[in-house]
Amino acid sequence: MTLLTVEDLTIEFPRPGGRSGGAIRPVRGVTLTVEPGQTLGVVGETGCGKTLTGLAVLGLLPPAARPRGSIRLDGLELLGAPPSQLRAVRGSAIAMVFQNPATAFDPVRPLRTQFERVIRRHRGGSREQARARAAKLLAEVELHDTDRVLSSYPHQLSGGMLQRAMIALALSCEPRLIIADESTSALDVTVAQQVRRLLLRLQHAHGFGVLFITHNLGEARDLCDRVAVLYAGEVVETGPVEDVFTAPAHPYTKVLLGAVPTVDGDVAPLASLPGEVPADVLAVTGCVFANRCPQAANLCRSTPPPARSLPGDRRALCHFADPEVAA
Amino acid sequence: MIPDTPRTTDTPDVSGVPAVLRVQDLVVTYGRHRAVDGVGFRIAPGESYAVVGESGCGKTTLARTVLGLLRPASGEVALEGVRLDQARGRDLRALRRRVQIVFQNPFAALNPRMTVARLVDEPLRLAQPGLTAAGRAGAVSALLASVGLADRFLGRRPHELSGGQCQRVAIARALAMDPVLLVLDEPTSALDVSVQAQVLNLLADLRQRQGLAYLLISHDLGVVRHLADRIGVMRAGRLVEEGPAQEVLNAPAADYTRALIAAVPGRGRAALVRGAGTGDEAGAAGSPGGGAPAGDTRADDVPTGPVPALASGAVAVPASEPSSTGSSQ
Repeated sequence: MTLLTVEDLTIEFPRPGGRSGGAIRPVRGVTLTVEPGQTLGVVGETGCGKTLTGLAVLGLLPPAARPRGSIRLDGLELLGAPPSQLRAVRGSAIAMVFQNPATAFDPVRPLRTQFERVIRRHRGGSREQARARAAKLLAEVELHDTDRVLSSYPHQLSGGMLQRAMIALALSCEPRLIIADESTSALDVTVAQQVRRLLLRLQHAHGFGVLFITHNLGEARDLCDRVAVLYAGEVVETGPVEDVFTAPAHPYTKVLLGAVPTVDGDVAPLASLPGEVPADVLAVTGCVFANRCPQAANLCRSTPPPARSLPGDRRALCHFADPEVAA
Repeated sequence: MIPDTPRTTDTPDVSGVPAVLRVQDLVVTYGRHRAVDGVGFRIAPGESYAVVGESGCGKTTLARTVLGLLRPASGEVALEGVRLDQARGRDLRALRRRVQIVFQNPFAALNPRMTVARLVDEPLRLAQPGLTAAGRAGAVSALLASVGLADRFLGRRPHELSGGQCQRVAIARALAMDPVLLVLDEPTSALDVSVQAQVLNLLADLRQRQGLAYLLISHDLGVVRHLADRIGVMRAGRLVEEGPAQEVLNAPAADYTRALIAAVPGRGRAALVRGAGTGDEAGAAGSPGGGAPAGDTRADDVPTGPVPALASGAVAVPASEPSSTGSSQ
């Protein structure tokens, strides 16, 4: 069975300033699936809705948010579930690895206390049992000096060590799904590479699914089985990661891939986008990308594009997505 | 030039033009910590030189010293043949104008209460005090046009601009001083990838049009590859490798450079598991088909131990192989 199904998720906020009836919808009609043991990458630029989507899965949206649609974990509906049920799922069946481990841990308690609380909250047992489990988990994330790490406060550890500890904490209740939101973005390049390898190895050993949220396309390529590209709150393209990266079907994906300066290959001017995301996407009659799209036609400005299914288990939100692209 | 400040003994190039920037045996300390520890390099007119390295390697300290904001403990910093590290008072101020900086976060670098017109006008008043108001207005428009911003932006304030537009304004401000050297400290790492592409294209274009020299500080080898002629790889205050960008990236000589290149993501999962080929002996020994790389138990790719200083024109190779002393932090 599919591990996580997000179906037609729309997140609405009352418009700041509060004209009655006005609203903004930073996430619109997002549909995603994560299979057990697989990694889905959610990629896009600032404001595309990737973080909100992750928070919605955890039931951690800001109080003003009004989500619609369906979010199911192993068939169990999470959207609108009572708080007690969500608390049981959160930290246990679903765990989160945040971007900045230095702010995600409680700064005034040693790691030991924080591990004990999470482990005993979800699995019960004595303090000694919880400590033994914490030590085992830290060894698994390659922090072998477990006594020192557990007695440390967050500020006493490096960013890389803290992120490993955060991953250990996420693993503590054997989650079926891990949501990783920019989990390596605050780390130095070599440390980020170590963390990516660690995630891959742990996934291989434990078989959890991962919703991997990132702005870094290279990182998505290395870690993910499938990828969903978000633009202005919509999934514009999904498919197996290598297919999408080698033959992108949506014009936005094409530009995004061409905009990354690479270490190998020729040095040529990079692809870039003119203009900006429309200030009010709800006022756009056609495709939300039409004002910046190098291939936009009249149809694109008048009619919203359908989600076209393409061969090879791919989809693209574009009138002109090439159906031959995956062939 | 500036008469009171000693000139360097630097012999000019064959062309007879002295280096825009020449740094020699530079040591900058914070208390007992040597943040920059014997660094030397030179930047020719119109050349783009990148310093790459991870947090704490001393690259930002180096940039500040080149700007004349920090005094070195020893060594020389010469700008167009004039010793910046020995200049004082008026001489120092005059020299500093020749070097301008573009910071990482453009929102923090621009006064939020000023309009774009005033932001660009401010340095112009210093650079060209003789100019009339009308003359300056024309110059502001021209500067904005050179960074791709139309006159309709003149009345806007930073919060009404996107990150990329803010960075363009910051670049226009730097250009207003008519510098010979632009220090770019992580100029695009706060920007989205499509916006980063615009700014990188602009910087490449500006250099060609105006013959500016760049000192680029970055941790992103893709950005460096795109913008730099030469690269210096910095670690623990020292240059561990230096050379033409193509050579350093295609055939890195130092283990640390190889580790940095191997850490660039985007080569696919198999490469990540394998250790991305070059410079990662521990990972490369692992199984290519998935699962845990055998030799990678502590995943510490970075060679540790003392970093030898770089002999001029040579490459320093750290003696120790990847070891198991824990996180590199």
